[in-house]
Amino acid sequence: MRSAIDIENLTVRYQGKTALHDVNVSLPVASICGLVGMNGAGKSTLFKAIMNAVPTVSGKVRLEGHTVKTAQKRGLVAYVPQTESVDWNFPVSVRDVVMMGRYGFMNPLRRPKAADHELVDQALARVHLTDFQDRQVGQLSGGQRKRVFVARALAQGATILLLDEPFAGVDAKTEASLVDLLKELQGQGITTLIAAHDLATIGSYCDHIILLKGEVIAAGPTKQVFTEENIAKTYDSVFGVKGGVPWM
Amino acid sequence: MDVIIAPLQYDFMLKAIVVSSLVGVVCALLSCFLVLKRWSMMGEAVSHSVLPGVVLAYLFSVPYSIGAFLFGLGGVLGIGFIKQRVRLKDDAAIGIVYTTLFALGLVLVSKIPSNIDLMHILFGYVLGISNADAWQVGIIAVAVSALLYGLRRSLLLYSFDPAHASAIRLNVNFYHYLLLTLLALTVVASVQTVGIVLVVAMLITPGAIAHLLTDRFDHMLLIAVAASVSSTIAGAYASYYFDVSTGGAMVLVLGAIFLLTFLFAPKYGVINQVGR
Repeated sequence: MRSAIDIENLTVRYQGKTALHDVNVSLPVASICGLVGMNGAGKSTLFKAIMNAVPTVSGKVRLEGHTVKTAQKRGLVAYVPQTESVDWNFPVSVRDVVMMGRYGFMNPLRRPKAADHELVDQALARVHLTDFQDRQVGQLSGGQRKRVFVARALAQGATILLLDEPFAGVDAKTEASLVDLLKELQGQGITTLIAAHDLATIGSYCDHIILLKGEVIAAGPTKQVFTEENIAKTYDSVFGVKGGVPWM
Repeated sequence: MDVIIAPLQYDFMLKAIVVSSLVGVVCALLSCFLVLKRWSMMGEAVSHSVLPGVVLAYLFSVPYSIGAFLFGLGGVLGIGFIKQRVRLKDDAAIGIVYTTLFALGLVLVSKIPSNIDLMHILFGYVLGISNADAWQVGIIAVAVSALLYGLRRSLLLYSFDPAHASAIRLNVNFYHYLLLTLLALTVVASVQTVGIVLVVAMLITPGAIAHLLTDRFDHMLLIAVAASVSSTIAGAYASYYFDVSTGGAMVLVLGAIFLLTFLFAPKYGVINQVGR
């Protein structure tokens, strides 16, 4: 099976501490994978490593067989930010934000061509936001706000989506409709990696799970690795672990 | 009509109107980015930091714009350096650096014999601007305006979502320093019009007015320019007819436009928000 994300022996030191230690993960194309762990377990750092936003001590990351740099140049990987990390008062419309997915393929003037507009149309249709394209982004519901960024990723031609806590503060109905969307995209060959610290529902729609606690506790198909024992290890108090913790 | 045209037969007045308008345009364009990026304090920092540069430029007989630019940019680089190296946050680093540089400027002015009029630097003196200075200001204002407008989409993306910007390999550092450089240049261009104290208003208020009136970024730029240019021109006339401080009059008009917008903006004004 071809890998969408391939991480080998990845170690990252961040602000003087080892944030990730010897991570090995391989995710097949078109999987929906949950990345679970406590706050500070290294979920964001792993995202940053996949986005080339932190220097790594050792190890390598391959996306669809490419280096991160090449994958980024081709727009293969996209990040859907946490809701609170975006200023929703910005004077930008839904369409403006989705068009930003095309900016990587333009010169610094970022003047969209007909082909760019067409890809934006398609992306809006795929996330069912065509009717909302002229709205200012702040005038969207929580679920729609997530969809805008998914659409931006699609317009960019991304095949790997990184979602950072997408379900924080959204109701069950919104969560279900977002999951439906991700499954639709899965059918189109898109791989999704979802960071979450809430375990309540993640096992029900992820086919793969990575349990993270500074290092990988377990990673693989949900049925095999999402066990009570592994969850206990992941969420155990850092100070209660026998024999100390290797990365502290 | 005569009230408008009559003053224009004087060279100094015509020059003042043209220079003020160009400065109004560049400040307005920049203010949109500063307001959205929450960089208002940065504008204040750069403007106050240029003072020693102006005095030293006089001492070494180089154009004041070079000295002002170097100190303005040096100020923000210093702020960035402090923030990175120790645990102080933005506001503390900004507050320390610009007040210190401003103080250095004051000490230099009082000690170095020169014909620099401190009041003119602090509060502007556009009616007395020399031809050489008018050209300098004009060229800087036009060039910076062109860059801000041409690169507006890149700068907006950098401001809105730097994580996405760097993910698509847009050089975020480049745009960061570009915006700072353009800020320093804008302050340099504004010194003689409104002065380094009042330029802060020109760097914030037009963008703030426009932000309350529209949800489209291109419209925001247009509205900011309209508000800013009309205030600079109104200020120049007020100063001509009533013999009041030019920079002061410009900023007062701008403040009045802000007040009206704050109250009556259709969607985001306070009065209409109470109604909902």
